[in-house]
Amino acid sequence: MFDFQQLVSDLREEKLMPSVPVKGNQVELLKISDKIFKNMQNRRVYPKELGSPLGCQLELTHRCNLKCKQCYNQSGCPKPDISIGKWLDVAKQLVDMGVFECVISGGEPLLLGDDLFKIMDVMHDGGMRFVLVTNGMLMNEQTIDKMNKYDYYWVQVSIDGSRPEIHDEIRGVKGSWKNAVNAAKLVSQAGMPLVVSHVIQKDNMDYVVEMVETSYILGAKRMITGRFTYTGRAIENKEEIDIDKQKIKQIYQLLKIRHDQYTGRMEIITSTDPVFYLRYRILEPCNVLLIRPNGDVKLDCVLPFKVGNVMDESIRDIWQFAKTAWRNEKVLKYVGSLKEESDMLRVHPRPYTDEDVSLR
Amino acid sequence: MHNFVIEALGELVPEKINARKSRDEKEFLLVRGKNKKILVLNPTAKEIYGLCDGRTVAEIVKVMCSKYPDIDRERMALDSLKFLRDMEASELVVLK
Repeated sequence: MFDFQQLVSDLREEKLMPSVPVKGNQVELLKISDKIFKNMQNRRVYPKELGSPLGCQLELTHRCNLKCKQCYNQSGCPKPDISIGKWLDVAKQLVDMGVFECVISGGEPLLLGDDLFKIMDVMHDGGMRFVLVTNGMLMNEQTIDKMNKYDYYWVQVSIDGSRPEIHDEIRGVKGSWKNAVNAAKLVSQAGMPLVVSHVIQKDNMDYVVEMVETSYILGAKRMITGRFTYTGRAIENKEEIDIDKQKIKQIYQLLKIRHDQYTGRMEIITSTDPVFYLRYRILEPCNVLLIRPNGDVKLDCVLPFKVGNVMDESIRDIWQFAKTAWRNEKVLKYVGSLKEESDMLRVHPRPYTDEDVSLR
Repeated sequence: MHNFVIEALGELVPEKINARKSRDEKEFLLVRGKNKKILVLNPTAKEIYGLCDGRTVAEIVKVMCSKYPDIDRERMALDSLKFLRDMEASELVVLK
Protein backbone atom coordinates (compact mmCIF):
# COMPACT_ATOMS: atom_id res chain seq x y z
CA MET A 1 0.00 0.00 0.00
CA PHE A 2 1.57 3.24 -1.10
CA ASP A 3 0.70 6.33 0.92
CA PHE A 4 0.56 8.93 -1.80
CA GLN A 5 -0.76 11.70 0.43
CA GLN A 6 2.13 11.21 2.81
CA LEU A 7 4.59 11.42 -0.05
CA VAL A 8 3.08 14.66 -1.29
CA SER A 9 3.01 16.07 2.20
CA ASP A 10 6.66 15.14 2.71
CA LEU A 11 7.64 16.65 -0.61
CA ARG A 12 5.78 19.85 0.04
CA GLU A 13 6.42 20.55 3.63
CA GLU A 14 9.68 19.21 4.81
CA LYS A 15 11.87 16.80 3.00
CA LEU A 16 12.20 18.06 -0.53
CA MET A 17 10.38 21.34 -0.78
CA PRO A 18 11.59 23.90 1.73
CA SER A 19 9.64 27.11 1.50
CA VAL A 20 12.13 29.24 -0.33
CA PRO A 21 14.66 26.97 -1.98
CA VAL A 22 17.27 28.79 -3.98
CA LYS A 23 16.75 28.66 -7.73
CA GLY A 24 19.30 25.91 -8.40
CA ASN A 25 17.69 23.70 -5.75
CA GLN A 26 14.24 24.40 -7.14
CA VAL A 27 15.17 22.95 -10.51
CA GLU A 28 16.72 19.94 -8.82
CA LEU A 29 13.69 19.41 -6.61
CA LEU A 30 11.31 19.65 -9.54
CA LYS A 31 13.37 17.08 -11.44
CA ILE A 32 13.25 14.72 -8.45
CA SER A 33 9.50 15.21 -8.04
CA ASP A 34 8.96 14.58 -11.75
CA LYS A 35 10.98 11.38 -11.54
CA ILE A 36 9.04 10.17 -8.50
CA PHE A 37 5.66 10.80 -10.12
CA LYS A 38 6.67 9.19 -13.44
CA ASN A 39 8.21 6.24 -11.66
CA MET A 40 5.07 5.72 -9.56
CA GLN A 41 2.87 5.94 -12.62
CA ASN A 42 5.04 3.65 -14.74
CA ARG A 43 5.09 1.07 -11.96
CA ARG A 44 1.32 1.46 -11.73
CA VAL A 45 1.58 2.39 -8.08
CA TYR A 46 -0.50 5.47 -8.73
CA PRO A 47 -2.85 6.38 -11.60
CA LYS A 48 -1.89 8.98 -14.19
CA GLU A 49 -5.31 10.54 -13.81
CA LEU A 50 -7.84 10.39 -11.01
CA GLY A 51 -11.51 9.53 -11.58
CA SER A 52 -12.45 12.31 -9.19
CA PRO A 53 -10.58 14.77 -6.99
CA LEU A 54 -9.12 13.78 -3.63
CA GLY A 55 -9.88 17.16 -2.14
CA CYS A 56 -11.66 20.40 -2.78
CA GLN A 57 -11.73 23.96 -1.52
CA LEU A 58 -15.06 25.71 -1.19
CA GLU A 59 -14.91 29.50 -1.04
CA LEU A 60 -18.43 29.69 0.30
CA THR A 61 -18.95 33.44 0.13
CA HIS A 62 -17.47 36.66 -1.18
CA ARG A 63 -18.64 38.35 2.00
CA CYS A 64 -16.17 39.24 4.70
CA ASN A 65 -16.32 41.22 7.94
CA LEU A 66 -12.69 42.35 7.60
CA LYS A 67 -10.77 44.12 4.86
CA CYS A 68 -7.23 42.78 5.02
CA LYS A 69 -4.57 44.65 3.11
CA GLN A 70 -3.05 41.43 1.75
CA CYS A 71 -6.25 39.49 0.97
CA TYR A 72 -5.27 37.17 -1.86
CA ASN A 73 -8.79 36.84 -3.23
CA GLN A 74 -10.42 40.25 -2.73
CA SER A 75 -12.82 38.98 -0.06
CA GLY A 76 -15.55 41.46 0.76
CA CYS A 77 -16.23 42.50 -2.83
CA PRO A 78 -19.95 43.03 -3.53
CA LYS A 79 -20.41 40.12 -5.93
CA PRO A 80 -23.32 37.66 -5.65
CA ASP A 81 -22.83 34.19 -4.16
CA ILE A 82 -24.56 31.05 -5.34
CA SER A 83 -27.46 29.98 -3.11
CA ILE A 84 -27.18 27.77 -0.04
CA GLY A 85 -29.35 25.26 -1.88
CA LYS A 86 -26.74 25.08 -4.61
CA TRP A 87 -23.92 24.67 -2.08
CA LEU A 88 -25.86 21.79 -0.52
CA ASP A 89 -26.10 20.24 -3.98
CA VAL A 90 -22.35 20.80 -4.54
CA ALA A 91 -21.63 19.12 -1.21
CA LYS A 92 -23.74 16.13 -2.19
CA GLN A 93 -22.03 15.87 -5.57
CA LEU A 94 -18.62 15.89 -3.89
CA VAL A 95 -19.68 13.13 -1.52
CA ASP A 96 -21.08 11.11 -4.42
CA MET A 97 -17.76 11.51 -6.24
CA GLY A 98 -15.88 10.09 -3.25
CA VAL A 99 -13.94 13.25 -2.43
CA PHE A 100 -12.05 12.81 0.84
CA GLU A 101 -11.32 16.27 2.16
CA CYS A 102 -12.58 19.83 1.98
CA VAL A 103 -11.07 23.21 2.79
CA ILE A 104 -13.85 25.58 3.85
CA SER A 105 -12.99 29.23 3.29
CA GLY A 106 -14.41 32.43 1.87
CA GLY A 107 -14.63 35.38 2.46
CA GLU A 108 -15.49 34.52 6.01
CA PRO A 109 -17.35 31.20 6.11
CA LEU A 110 -18.86 31.76 9.57
CA LEU A 111 -20.93 34.59 8.05
CA LEU A 112 -23.15 31.82 6.66
CA GLY A 113 -24.36 31.09 10.18
CA ASP A 114 -26.15 27.75 10.57
CA ASP A 115 -26.17 27.30 6.79
CA LEU A 116 -22.43 26.60 7.04
CA PHE A 117 -23.11 23.65 9.31
CA LYS A 118 -25.88 22.36 7.01
CA ILE A 119 -23.34 22.24 4.17
CA MET A 120 -20.68 20.67 6.39
CA ASP A 121 -23.23 18.11 7.64
CA VAL A 122 -23.70 16.74 4.12
CA MET A 123 -19.96 16.27 3.66
CA HIS A 124 -19.43 15.03 7.22
CA ASP A 125 -22.12 12.37 6.75
CA GLY A 126 -20.27 11.41 3.57
CA GLY A 127 -17.07 10.81 5.55
CA MET A 128 -15.21 13.93 4.51
CA ARG A 129 -12.60 15.65 6.68
CA PHE A 130 -12.19 19.42 6.92
CA VAL A 131 -9.84 22.33 7.12
CA LEU A 132 -11.81 25.38 8.26
CA VAL A 133 -10.27 28.79 7.62
CA THR A 134 -11.69 31.67 9.66
CA ASN A 135 -10.78 35.13 10.89
CA GLY A 136 -12.42 34.31 14.24
CA MET A 137 -14.66 37.38 14.30
CA LEU A 138 -17.85 35.38 14.87
CA MET A 139 -16.45 32.59 16.97
CA ASN A 140 -18.01 32.07 20.37
CA GLU A 141 -18.79 29.14 22.64
CA GLN A 142 -22.03 28.32 20.81
CA THR A 143 -20.22 28.26 17.46
CA ILE A 144 -17.48 26.07 18.91
CA ASP A 145 -20.08 23.60 20.17
CA LYS A 146 -21.51 23.32 16.66
CA MET A 147 -18.08 23.05 15.03
CA ASN A 148 -16.78 20.42 17.39
CA LYS A 149 -18.66 17.45 15.93
CA TYR A 150 -16.74 17.46 12.64
CA ASP A 151 -13.50 15.72 11.76
CA TYR A 152 -10.74 18.24 11.08
CA TYR A 153 -7.24 18.22 9.74
CA TRP A 154 -7.19 21.59 11.41
CA VAL A 155 -9.09 24.79 12.19
CA GLN A 156 -7.13 27.76 10.94
CA VAL A 157 -7.42 31.16 12.61
CA SER A 158 -5.70 34.07 10.89
CA ILE A 159 -3.75 36.33 13.23
CA ASP A 160 -1.61 38.93 11.53
CA GLY A 161 0.03 40.46 14.56
CA SER A 162 1.18 39.67 18.06
CA ARG A 163 -0.32 42.97 19.19
CA PRO A 164 -3.79 44.47 18.58
CA GLU A 165 -2.59 47.63 16.88
CA ILE A 166 -0.71 45.62 14.22
CA HIS A 167 -3.45 43.09 13.42
CA ASP A 168 -6.27 45.66 13.50
CA GLU A 169 -4.36 47.97 11.15
CA ILE A 170 -3.69 45.15 8.67
CA ARG A 171 -7.19 43.70 8.88
CA GLY A 172 -8.99 47.04 8.78
CA VAL A 173 -11.28 46.59 11.80
CA LYS A 174 -10.59 47.73 15.35
CA GLY A 175 -11.12 44.94 17.85
CA SER A 176 -10.53 42.16 15.34
CA TRP A 177 -7.32 41.04 17.06
CA LYS A 178 -9.10 40.34 20.34
CA ASN A 179 -11.70 38.28 18.48
CA ALA A 180 -9.01 36.31 16.66
CA VAL A 181 -7.07 35.60 19.87
CA ASN A 182 -10.27 34.52 21.63
CA ALA A 183 -11.19 32.31 18.69
CA ALA A 184 -7.79 30.62 18.75
CA LYS A 185 -8.10 30.04 22.47
CA LEU A 186 -11.61 28.56 22.10
CA VAL A 187 -10.52 26.21 19.30
CA SER A 188 -7.57 24.80 21.24
CA GLN A 189 -9.55 24.73 24.48
CA ALA A 190 -12.19 22.59 22.76
CA GLY A 191 -9.48 20.14 21.70
CA MET A 192 -9.69 20.93 17.99
CA PRO A 193 -6.36 21.07 16.13
CA LEU A 194 -5.52 24.77 15.97
CA VAL A 195 -3.40 26.25 13.22
CA VAL A 196 -2.49 29.93 13.32
CA SER A 197 -1.84 31.52 9.94
CA HIS A 198 0.19 34.70 9.81
CA VAL A 199 0.92 36.69 6.66
CA ILE A 200 4.17 38.59 6.86
CA GLN A 201 4.15 42.15 5.55
CA LYS A 202 5.59 45.56 6.36
CA ASP A 203 3.37 46.28 9.39
CA ASN A 204 4.24 43.06 11.23
CA MET A 205 7.68 42.13 9.88
CA ASP A 206 9.50 43.08 13.08
CA TYR A 207 7.22 41.04 15.34
CA VAL A 208 7.32 37.60 13.74
CA VAL A 209 9.24 35.99 16.60
CA GLU A 210 6.75 37.35 19.12
CA MET A 211 3.99 35.95 16.91
CA VAL A 212 5.54 32.48 17.05
CA GLU A 213 5.48 32.62 20.85
CA THR A 214 1.89 33.92 20.86
CA SER A 215 0.75 31.10 18.58
CA TYR A 216 2.40 28.55 20.82
CA ILE A 217 0.86 29.69 24.08
CA LEU A 218 -2.53 29.92 22.38
CA GLY A 219 -2.18 26.18 21.82
CA ALA A 220 -1.44 26.06 18.08
CA LYS A 221 -0.22 22.72 16.79
CA ARG A 222 1.10 24.44 13.71
CA MET A 223 1.87 27.97 12.53
CA ILE A 224 1.69 28.62 8.81
CA THR A 225 3.46 31.79 7.83
CA GLY A 226 5.12 33.48 4.93
CA ARG A 227 5.15 36.66 2.96
CA PHE A 228 1.89 37.66 1.20
CA THR A 229 1.37 36.60 -2.42
CA TYR A 230 1.05 39.06 -5.30
CA THR A 231 -2.62 38.40 -5.99
CA GLY A 232 -5.92 40.14 -5.25
CA ARG A 233 -5.85 43.06 -2.86
CA ALA A 234 -2.16 42.56 -2.15
CA ILE A 235 -1.46 43.92 -5.64
CA GLU A 236 -3.49 47.09 -4.94
CA ASN A 237 -1.69 47.60 -1.64
CA LYS A 238 1.75 46.51 -2.77
CA GLU A 239 3.54 49.76 -1.93
CA GLU A 240 2.06 49.79 1.55
CA ILE A 241 2.77 46.17 2.49
CA ASP A 242 5.81 45.06 0.51
CA ILE A 243 9.07 43.99 2.14
CA ASP A 244 12.47 43.98 0.47
CA LYS A 245 14.14 40.68 -0.36
CA GLN A 246 16.93 41.09 2.18
CA LYS A 247 14.48 41.61 5.04
CA ILE A 248 12.35 38.62 4.08
CA LYS A 249 15.49 36.50 3.95
CA GLN A 250 16.38 37.60 7.49
CA ILE A 251 12.87 36.77 8.69
CA TYR A 252 13.01 33.30 7.13
CA GLN A 253 16.34 32.71 8.83
CA LEU A 254 14.78 33.62 12.18
CA LEU A 255 11.87 31.32 11.42
CA LYS A 256 14.25 28.48 10.62
CA ILE A 257 15.80 28.85 14.09
CA ARG A 258 12.35 28.90 15.71
CA HIS A 259 11.30 25.93 13.58
CA ASP A 260 14.13 23.92 15.06
CA GLN A 261 13.47 25.16 18.60
CA TYR A 262 9.79 24.23 18.46
CA THR A 263 10.25 20.81 16.84
CA GLY A 264 8.02 18.27 18.51
CA ARG A 265 5.91 20.98 20.11
CA MET A 266 4.56 23.19 17.31
CA GLU A 267 5.24 22.90 13.58
CA ILE A 268 6.31 26.10 11.88
CA ILE A 269 5.67 25.92 8.17
CA THR A 270 6.55 28.64 5.73
CA SER A 271 4.43 29.07 2.64
CA THR A 272 5.86 28.00 -0.68
CA ASP A 273 7.16 30.34 -3.37
CA PRO A 274 4.11 30.47 -5.71
CA VAL A 275 6.16 30.11 -8.91
CA PHE A 276 7.82 26.99 -7.59
CA TYR A 277 4.45 25.74 -6.34
CA LEU A 278 2.85 26.17 -9.77
CA ARG A 279 5.67 24.28 -11.48
CA TYR A 280 5.30 21.50 -9.00
CA ARG A 281 1.55 21.29 -9.50
CA ILE A 282 2.06 20.71 -13.23
CA LEU A 283 4.02 17.56 -12.42
CA GLU A 284 1.53 16.22 -9.92
CA PRO A 285 -1.61 14.42 -11.15
CA CYS A 286 -4.50 16.89 -10.72
CA ASN A 287 -6.21 16.02 -7.44
CA VAL A 288 -8.11 19.05 -6.16
CA LEU A 289 -10.71 21.56 -7.31
CA LEU A 290 -11.54 24.98 -5.97
CA ILE A 291 -15.09 26.30 -6.19
CA ARG A 292 -15.54 30.06 -5.96
CA PRO A 293 -18.52 31.82 -4.35
CA ASN A 294 -20.09 32.42 -7.80
CA GLY A 295 -19.81 28.73 -8.68
CA ASP A 296 -16.75 29.05 -10.90
CA VAL A 297 -14.53 26.00 -10.67
CA LYS A 298 -10.77 26.52 -10.68
CA LEU A 299 -7.72 24.32 -10.45
CA ASP A 300 -6.33 26.22 -7.47
CA CYS A 301 -6.18 29.63 -5.83
CA VAL A 302 -3.19 30.99 -7.73
CA LEU A 303 -3.97 30.31 -11.38
CA PRO A 304 -6.36 32.82 -13.03
CA PHE A 305 -8.16 30.12 -15.03
CA LYS A 306 -11.58 28.55 -14.63
CA VAL A 307 -12.63 25.14 -15.89
CA GLY A 308 -16.42 25.43 -15.51
CA ASN A 309 -19.24 26.59 -13.28
CA VAL A 310 -21.41 24.46 -11.02
CA MET A 311 -24.52 26.29 -12.25
CA ASP A 312 -23.95 25.06 -15.80
CA GLU A 313 -22.95 21.43 -15.36
CA SER A 314 -22.18 18.73 -12.82
CA ILE A 315 -18.83 18.66 -11.01
CA ARG A 316 -18.30 15.18 -12.43
CA ASP A 317 -18.57 16.60 -15.98
CA ILE A 318 -16.27 19.51 -15.10
CA TRP A 319 -13.74 17.06 -13.70
CA GLN A 320 -13.57 15.20 -17.02
CA PHE A 321 -11.87 18.31 -18.38
CA ALA A 322 -10.18 19.50 -15.18
CA LYS A 323 -8.32 16.28 -14.39
CA THR A 324 -5.75 16.98 -17.06
CA ALA A 325 -6.06 20.76 -17.19
CA TRP A 326 -2.79 21.45 -15.38
CA ARG A 327 -1.15 20.36 -18.62
CA ASN A 328 -3.41 22.56 -20.75
CA GLU A 329 -1.41 24.63 -23.22
CA LYS A 330 -2.62 27.94 -21.72
CA VAL A 331 -1.62 26.84 -18.24
CA LEU A 332 1.80 25.67 -19.35
CA LYS A 333 2.38 28.92 -21.21
CA TYR A 334 1.22 31.00 -18.25
CA VAL A 335 3.33 29.15 -15.69
CA GLY A 336 6.28 29.16 -18.07
CA SER A 337 6.06 32.95 -18.31
CA LEU A 338 6.55 33.30 -14.56
CA LYS A 339 10.25 33.24 -13.81
CA GLU A 340 10.01 34.77 -10.36
CA GLU A 341 7.29 35.85 -7.99
CA SER A 342 7.34 39.50 -8.99
CA ASP A 343 6.33 38.43 -12.52
CA MET A 344 2.88 37.86 -11.06
CA LEU A 345 2.51 41.65 -11.00
CA ARG A 346 3.11 41.92 -14.75
CA VAL A 347 1.50 38.82 -16.18
CA HIS A 348 -1.99 38.82 -17.68
CA PRO A 349 -4.44 37.85 -16.32
CA ARG A 350 -3.37 38.49 -12.75
CA PRO A 351 -5.06 36.14 -10.26
CA TYR A 352 -7.98 37.68 -8.36
CA THR A 353 -7.28 41.03 -10.00
CA ASP A 354 -8.23 40.51 -13.66
CA GLU A 355 -11.15 38.38 -14.80
CA ASP A 356 -10.39 34.65 -14.82
CA VAL A 357 -10.07 33.14 -18.28
CA SER A 358 -11.92 29.96 -19.23
CA LEU A 359 -9.71 27.08 -20.31
CA ARG A 360 -12.54 25.52 -22.32
CA MET B 1 3.74 39.19 24.91
CA HIS B 2 0.54 41.19 25.00
CA ASN B 3 -1.23 41.13 28.32
CA PHE B 4 -4.61 40.35 26.74
CA VAL B 5 -3.33 36.98 25.53
CA ILE B 6 -2.13 36.08 28.99
CA GLU B 7 -5.37 37.29 30.59
CA ALA B 8 -7.49 35.39 28.06
CA LEU B 9 -5.64 32.17 28.81
CA GLY B 10 -5.86 32.69 32.58
CA GLU B 11 -9.24 30.94 32.77
CA LEU B 12 -7.90 27.69 31.27
CA VAL B 13 -7.67 24.73 33.62
CA PRO B 14 -4.63 22.48 33.14
CA GLU B 15 -5.54 18.89 33.81
CA LYS B 16 -2.95 16.17 34.35
CA ILE B 17 -3.36 13.22 31.99
CA ASN B 18 -1.53 10.00 31.16
CA ALA B 19 1.00 10.13 34.03
CA ARG B 20 1.65 6.41 34.24
CA LYS B 21 4.48 6.65 36.71
CA SER B 22 6.35 9.37 38.56
CA ARG B 23 8.81 9.71 41.38
CA ASP B 24 10.66 12.40 43.26
CA GLU B 25 14.37 12.57 42.65
CA LYS B 26 15.60 15.05 45.25
CA GLU B 27 14.28 18.42 44.10
CA PHE B 28 13.32 17.05 40.65
CA LEU B 29 10.29 15.09 39.52
CA LEU B 30 10.54 12.31 36.97
CA VAL B 31 7.37 11.58 35.01
CA ARG B 32 6.58 9.04 32.32
CA GLY B 33 3.44 9.29 30.25
CA LYS B 34 2.05 7.18 27.42
CA ASN B 35 5.29 7.03 25.49
CA LYS B 36 8.75 5.89 26.51
CA LYS B 37 10.01 9.37 27.26
CA ILE B 38 10.79 10.13 30.91
CA LEU B 39 10.51 13.85 31.58
CA VAL B 40 12.69 15.47 34.20
CA LEU B 41 10.90 18.43 35.75
CA ASN B 42 13.10 20.97 37.48
CA PRO B 43 11.98 22.36 40.86
CA THR B 44 9.88 25.20 39.40
CA ALA B 45 8.31 22.97 36.76
CA LYS B 46 7.59 20.42 39.47
CA GLU B 47 5.80 23.07 41.51
CA ILE B 48 3.64 24.19 38.60
CA TYR B 49 2.84 20.59 37.67
CA GLY B 50 1.91 19.96 41.30
CA LEU B 51 -0.51 22.87 41.17
CA CYS B 52 -2.43 21.29 38.28
CA ASP B 53 -5.15 20.08 40.60
CA GLY B 54 -8.21 21.83 39.22
CA ARG B 55 -6.85 25.37 39.57
CA THR B 56 -6.94 27.78 36.66
CA VAL B 57 -3.79 29.09 35.01
CA ALA B 58 -4.41 32.46 36.70
CA GLU B 59 -4.63 30.80 40.11
CA ILE B 60 -1.44 28.85 39.51
CA VAL B 61 0.37 32.02 38.44
CA LYS B 62 -0.89 33.79 41.56
CA VAL B 63 0.53 31.05 43.82
CA MET B 64 3.85 31.10 41.96
CA CYS B 65 4.07 34.90 42.16
CA SER B 66 3.50 34.86 45.90
CA LYS B 67 6.25 32.28 46.21
CA TYR B 68 8.68 34.18 43.99
CA PRO B 69 7.86 37.86 44.58
CA ASP B 70 11.00 39.04 42.78
CA ILE B 71 9.75 37.72 39.46
CA ASP B 72 7.54 39.99 37.41
CA ARG B 73 3.97 38.65 37.14
CA GLU B 74 3.89 38.84 33.35
CA ARG B 75 7.14 36.88 33.11
CA MET B 76 5.82 34.28 35.52
CA ALA B 77 2.55 33.94 33.58
CA LEU B 78 4.30 33.57 30.25
CA ASP B 79 6.83 31.04 31.53
CA SER B 80 4.09 29.05 33.25
CA LEU B 81 1.98 28.99 30.08
CA LYS B 82 4.94 27.91 27.97
CA PHE B 83 5.71 25.12 30.41
CA LEU B 84 2.09 23.98 30.43
CA ARG B 85 1.99 23.97 26.61
CA ASP B 86 5.22 21.93 26.65
CA MET B 87 3.53 19.46 28.99
CA GLU B 88 0.54 19.44 26.65
CA ALA B 89 2.84 18.62 23.72
CA SER B 90 4.21 15.75 25.82
CA GLU B 91 0.62 14.60 26.38
CA LEU B 92 0.91 14.92 30.14
CA VAL B 93 -1.39 17.91 30.55
CA VAL B 94 -4.39 19.21 28.67
CA LEU B 95 -5.52 22.82 28.98
CA LYS B 96 -9.31 22.93 29.02
